[in-house]
Amino acid sequence: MAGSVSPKKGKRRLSAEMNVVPYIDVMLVLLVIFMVTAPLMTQGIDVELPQATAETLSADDEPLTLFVSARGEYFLDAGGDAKKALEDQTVIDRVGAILRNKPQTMVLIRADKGVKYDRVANGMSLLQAAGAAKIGFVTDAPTVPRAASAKPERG
Amino acid sequence: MLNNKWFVCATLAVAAIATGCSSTGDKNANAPADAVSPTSTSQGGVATSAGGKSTGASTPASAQSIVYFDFDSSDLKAESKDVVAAWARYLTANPTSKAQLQGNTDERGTREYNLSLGERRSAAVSAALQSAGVSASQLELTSNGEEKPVAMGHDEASWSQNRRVEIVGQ
Amino acid sequence: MLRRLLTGCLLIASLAAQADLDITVVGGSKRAQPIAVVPFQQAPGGAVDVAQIVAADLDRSGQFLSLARADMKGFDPLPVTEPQVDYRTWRALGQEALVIGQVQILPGGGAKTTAELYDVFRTQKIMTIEATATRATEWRSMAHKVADQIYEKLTGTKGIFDTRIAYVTSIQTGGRRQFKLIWADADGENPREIARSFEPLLSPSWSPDGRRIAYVTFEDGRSKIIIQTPATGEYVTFLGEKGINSAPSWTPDGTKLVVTLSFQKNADIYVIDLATKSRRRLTDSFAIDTSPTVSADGRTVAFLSDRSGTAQIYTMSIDGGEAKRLTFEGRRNEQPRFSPDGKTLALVNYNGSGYRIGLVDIATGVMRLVSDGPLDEGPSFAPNSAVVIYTRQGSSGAELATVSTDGSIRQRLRHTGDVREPAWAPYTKP
Repeated sequence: MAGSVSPKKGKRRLSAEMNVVPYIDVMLVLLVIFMVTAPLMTQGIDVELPQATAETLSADDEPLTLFVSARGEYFLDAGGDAKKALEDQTVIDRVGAILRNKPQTMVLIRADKGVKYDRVANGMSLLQAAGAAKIGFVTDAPTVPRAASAKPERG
Repeated sequence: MLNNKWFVCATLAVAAIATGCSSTGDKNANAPADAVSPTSTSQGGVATSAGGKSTGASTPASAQSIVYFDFDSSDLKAESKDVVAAWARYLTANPTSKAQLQGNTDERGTREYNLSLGERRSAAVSAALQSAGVSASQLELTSNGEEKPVAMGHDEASWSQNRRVEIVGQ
Repeated sequence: MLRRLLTGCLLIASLAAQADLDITVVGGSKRAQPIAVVPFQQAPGGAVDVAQIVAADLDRSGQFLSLARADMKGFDPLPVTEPQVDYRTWRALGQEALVIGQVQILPGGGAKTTAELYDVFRTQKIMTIEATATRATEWRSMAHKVADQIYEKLTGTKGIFDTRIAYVTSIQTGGRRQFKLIWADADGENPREIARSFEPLLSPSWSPDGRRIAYVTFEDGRSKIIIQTPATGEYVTFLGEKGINSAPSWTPDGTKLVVTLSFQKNADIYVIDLATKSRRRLTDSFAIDTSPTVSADGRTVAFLSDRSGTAQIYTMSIDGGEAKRLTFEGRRNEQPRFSPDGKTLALVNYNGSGYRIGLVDIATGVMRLVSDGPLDEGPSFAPNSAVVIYTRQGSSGAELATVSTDGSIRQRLRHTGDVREPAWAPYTKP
């Protein structure tokens, strides 16, 4: 092989310009691939969403939510009295008991958008005092676009 | 595998020889000397009730009143010959005197079995005394099983002192 | 894990304050079932906190882990009746079962407990439990009955919380060793003395109706078999033959006692009729035959014999006949005990290095060792045949230990001085 190449080199003159045509070919092919796959990828995300929500609803991973009302009162979705505003100490006792017996419980704060910031901060410190290492925030905003994006899928 | 087996056998054999040596060594050392004090203290309760009848003077000394045994055995050992002979002399010379043979065991094994083993040991001493001319009516056999140890340890040194028949003159 | 240790420590502390026998769970089930026993609605002035005893019983079994009362504090008011049960709360607390109840005080110091057991995940009531006490002294027993019913419902095995255990203690007092035969509740509470002596007490054995106990004394340095009614203290010296009188064991119908006597030269097994005292010699060998036990159907006697040269277990018809060797494993096998259900024979096995408790499956003949040794002895079955209590040599003297027949759950029962010779009483007939 090497022997057959070197005589050719000697015969031809070297061209100073670069041949870009193959590069353009490759780029076009790549472009087409991305154009085709891009919409597929976004569809994939949309399909996975409902599965993810189904998993979080399983009984074992039921999160514990601290609700903060517009007036700054605290409510917990464990204790059988979700409508009763709770004292700070009761929040610590309950969340503490739950985390001691089921340490993997996810703790969420769901605050009204009109609530004063310091009530949320206080709620967080109560949860931390009860032993919650990680606290998740639930806001109302994301629920609107998610519902809207779900519609075209059915259509 | 085969090598392992040989190794285990060899170790066991060495261990057996070692314990055998040490236990006989213990007994030779302990029987005459140490046995005196534990026996007299442990006998406190019984001796007071029996003490009145005993003719003190010619009864063999308490050191000469204990017969020791091997583990789970009721065979008299050669070293016990002197004890048996001394008591045989005393009992044949005093045909009205009596002796209680109290069998004891070490703590190993169940209490119920050891109660019977203690009795078997006192029966072995009784047989030896009778073959030396002592009348059966002079002997009373009892067993304490493992209930009355003189040494409280959980090792061969204690166990070898507890496997015994005490001969108590009455 | 830490919580488990802490509750264990609390349990010991609370028992130590009240009872002489300290019980520790040393090896619980791999996955103890979480159960919440909510304080029962109970008028002040009750003899005991019923729910607390129920929770302690379940914890002690090693198969349950009760929810700490401190963890219920934030959830006041706690449920007392079914409509007040919020499953979400108990699920959040990681509990699988929930017990609520109320205690109604009856005139004369008695009480009636009505409790309910719930499945937290299936969100449904499993059962309603009722138990009564006619006197203030029966409150603990009432609480144990509630725990027994919960245990049986959730595990499928009959509970043994409302049972009693007899044991012998040996304490050095003023240069002398004092022996006491004691019976106490299975949780170590309520210890009552049956007999005391400066001579050893041995081999307690309960009659099948649980009303009488036979045991061996050494008054005057000679063994005797006593039969006593612990409730009244009445006793009779049943046997006091020359030689050994030992190892009493009752026939399941309660009419005869199988014992070891040596008045005919050597330890042999005899069957003695309790009413007539007529005796029948069962074994006649030059070997030691002792430690008889009668099978649940009353037809077979198992006993220790060293007729082969070493102690092994043999069986024989209670009417006599040929003795059949049962054990061949290990160097020695001693002290057989038939289980009340007739399926298992417990024994003491010696394999050359230590004495351990073995369980022989009677149908297959297979033996399993369930204790660690090196000086274990005196096995006695709990009346549900699922637990064996025995004596072991602890770091500070002889102590009792229990092991579930599958070997998984273990308890240690310690007492001042030595404690040994356990005998688990049968379920007392109502």
